[in-house]
Amino acid sequence: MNWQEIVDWASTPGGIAVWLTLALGLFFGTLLISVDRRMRLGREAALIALLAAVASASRVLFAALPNVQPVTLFILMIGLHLGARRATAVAMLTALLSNMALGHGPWTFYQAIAWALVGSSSALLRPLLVNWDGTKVRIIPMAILAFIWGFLFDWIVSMSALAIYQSFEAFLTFILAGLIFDAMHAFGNVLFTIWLAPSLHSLLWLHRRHEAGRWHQELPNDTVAREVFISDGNASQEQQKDPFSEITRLDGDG
Amino acid sequence: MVGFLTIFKWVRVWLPLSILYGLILLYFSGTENWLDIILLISKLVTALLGMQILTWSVPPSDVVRSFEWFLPRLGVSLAIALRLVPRLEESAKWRLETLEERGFVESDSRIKNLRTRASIWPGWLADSLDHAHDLGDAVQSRGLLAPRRWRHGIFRRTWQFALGEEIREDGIHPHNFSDSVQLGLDIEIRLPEGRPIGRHKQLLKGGNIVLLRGPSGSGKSSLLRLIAGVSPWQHPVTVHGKAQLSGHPILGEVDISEGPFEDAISCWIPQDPDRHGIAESVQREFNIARRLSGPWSQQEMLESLREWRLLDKLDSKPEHLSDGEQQRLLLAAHLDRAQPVWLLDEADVHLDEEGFIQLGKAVVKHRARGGLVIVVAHRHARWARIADIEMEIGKNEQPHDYPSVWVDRGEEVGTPPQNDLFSHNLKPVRSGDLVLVQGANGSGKTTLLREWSSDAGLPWLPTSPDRRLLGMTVKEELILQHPILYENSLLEEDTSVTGRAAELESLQSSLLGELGLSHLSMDTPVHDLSTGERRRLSLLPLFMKSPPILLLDEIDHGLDDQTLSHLLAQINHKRQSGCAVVITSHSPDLTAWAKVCGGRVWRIEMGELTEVKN
Repeated sequence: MNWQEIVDWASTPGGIAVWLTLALGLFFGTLLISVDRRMRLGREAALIALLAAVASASRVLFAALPNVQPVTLFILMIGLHLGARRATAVAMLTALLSNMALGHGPWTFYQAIAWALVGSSSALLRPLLVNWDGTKVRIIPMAILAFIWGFLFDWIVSMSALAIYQSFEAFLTFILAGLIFDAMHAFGNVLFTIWLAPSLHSLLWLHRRHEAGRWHQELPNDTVAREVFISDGNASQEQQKDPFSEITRLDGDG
Repeated sequence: MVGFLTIFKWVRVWLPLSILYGLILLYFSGTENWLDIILLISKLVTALLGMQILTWSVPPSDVVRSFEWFLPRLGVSLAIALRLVPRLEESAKWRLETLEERGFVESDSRIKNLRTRASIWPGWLADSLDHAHDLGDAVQSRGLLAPRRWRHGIFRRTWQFALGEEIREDGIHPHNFSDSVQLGLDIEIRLPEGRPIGRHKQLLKGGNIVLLRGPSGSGKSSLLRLIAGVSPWQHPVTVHGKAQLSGHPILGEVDISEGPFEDAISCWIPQDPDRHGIAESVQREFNIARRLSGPWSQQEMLESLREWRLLDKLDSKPEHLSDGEQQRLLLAAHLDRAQPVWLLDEADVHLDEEGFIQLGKAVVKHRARGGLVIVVAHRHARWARIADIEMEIGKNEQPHDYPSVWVDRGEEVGTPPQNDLFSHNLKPVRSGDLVLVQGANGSGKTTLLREWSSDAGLPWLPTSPDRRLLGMTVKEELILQHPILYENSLLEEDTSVTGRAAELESLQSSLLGELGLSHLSMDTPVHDLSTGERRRLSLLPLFMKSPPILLLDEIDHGLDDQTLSHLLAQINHKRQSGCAVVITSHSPDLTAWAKVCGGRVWRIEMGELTEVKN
């Protein structure tokens, strides 16, 4: 097989499915290895486990409603607070755990990749999704992002169909057939954002604030900057002398 | 093994979906392709079923084990997640039960019920986070994140793998520590605002049992956490100074303040055994524990289980064991003879007398090997007999006498349940009665209270206060303690509180004062409160409801003498106002108190309840 044949094959549906899957798999595999190597605290391992367990439980809980589940929002919030790498770890564990109850298939891999992308997107778009000091989540941008991911997520998971059918037509049919379900996912995401995002945000923010200590200092930069500014301000206010203290009254009344 | 019924259930869901999908494909691609589409769908269904059978056939623990080969630390995360899923479910059940007990689901409107149930999820998630912290600390202290130390090189391991042989990990063999074990402390523990809660300057040598005493919140558990090498801020605290451990079998000299450590630096048995067990089965708990301390042998596990009277629980899941049994399982699996320092944080609270004797034997043996044992205990009468050194933290207060009061018994208010589980010939409980229920671990004391509660519609308080706390902050918790208060909180903020809601608010605030909780800030997260404060906060709705019988499970757990005597005074007060009180406990001190108060003592054995004569 010469180079030209490989290039030709790479533009076929089967080829696209293979190289895209490999590229994404390698990229997120690298992120996972990096999370694994960096993990030094049992609490970090347990936090990732808990978030994955909660996301999986919520997915199983809403299994009766077709394609309506809060996992996408959970992963968006985790990406926002804990960054792309840990969101990738949670995404992978969530796909593994929830499919233990709902059934594994080729989609497990694509779900993990799609949720990893979801988490990475919110980590990258953090400045747009939280207010100036990171204490509140902006509901409208978050809802728009969650709505877009409702469709994108399902299309990425549908890549398994591209790999199986090896035909653009069958893939498009697959996507068209699932549009109603994609819309349900998207609208479900918006509803979950309105319902859960503010309290989930404050909980994760409080948790991070609570955890910040000698062995684990990873508060958001804006929070640290704000606190330093406020404490400096307080200190300088304390040191400020009475501006009139060194002025002597010339009329002799003082 | 996959059964016929499981496959039938799977087919019932997936076959109609596949047919539907085939019909959609037919609609879009034209009817002339029907044969191709049937072929495609049948291939798809076969592939799915094959994959599903594979999923069913591989147990989750095998998935974890294979995962650990590639991503060892995320493998630990997966193991914890598998353990957490049933616990999250259990925690949600406790919360729904609490809502029901507080009268929240009596409304006719389903939407209202749903809204109320939805309102408890932040508290549930906050509790789950706290629980995950506990599991994370257990992982850290047991060194499970440390890289594995293989007994053989990579080539020999590959060869063993190819031959299907067991690949062994190296461990530390138990040995005598001679006089090498020393723990030097020169540290101060401070609260976030800078207030010190503990100053320690001691040199503790191996071959001693040290009993650490002090009131709640004096920093005993934080000190033990620090020595165990886990985050000391279970509640936010910072540590200043140095702590040096010498005689560690792997690390030799350890400066504990340089933590965290990947290796286990001591053997730490924390409070609340139901929150610190990692594995999903009794056998795997042993496997995990022995993974680091040496080669695991089944014989050793069986002998240890027999010593701790857990042999019949080998096939049980840890969450199905009673608190006492879970405590014994943690001790049996994790008391690591290779570690020079043992830290026992109220490890005996759930143990019956026989269990405590077993623990005492293990501790004395460890002392004889030259190990150092540090014990935190509120009911220290048991430990004082074998402790070599007693260390006082915080204010040196005289031991409190529990307040005793003689209450005249009134009319009959109930009898314990008689069903398949329990039988008895006891006289009925009368108003003002005090009943203390005793029994060995696993004899069914908690089950008795639960059954009694569901039979007679009485509220009861389980051992762990977290099971009866619904809110994320103190304010949320207080609102969720009564449906009327909750309804009132949903109204506009400027609406003035009147009628029943105002009465309840005033009752609640006076009870807060009586229980010594009026100092609490409303914005404090519930899990930042001390065990004693959480216990009293969870008792508040029971006092508000004033049931004819108060059912309280191990009321003394996690409380210092002063807090406990304060709480017992409140209980006496309730008795005087005509309420009967039923308490379960292993504590000899509480038994003595019950007798002095003219209380009755019941004993459970094999489901038979009998009255113990004075």
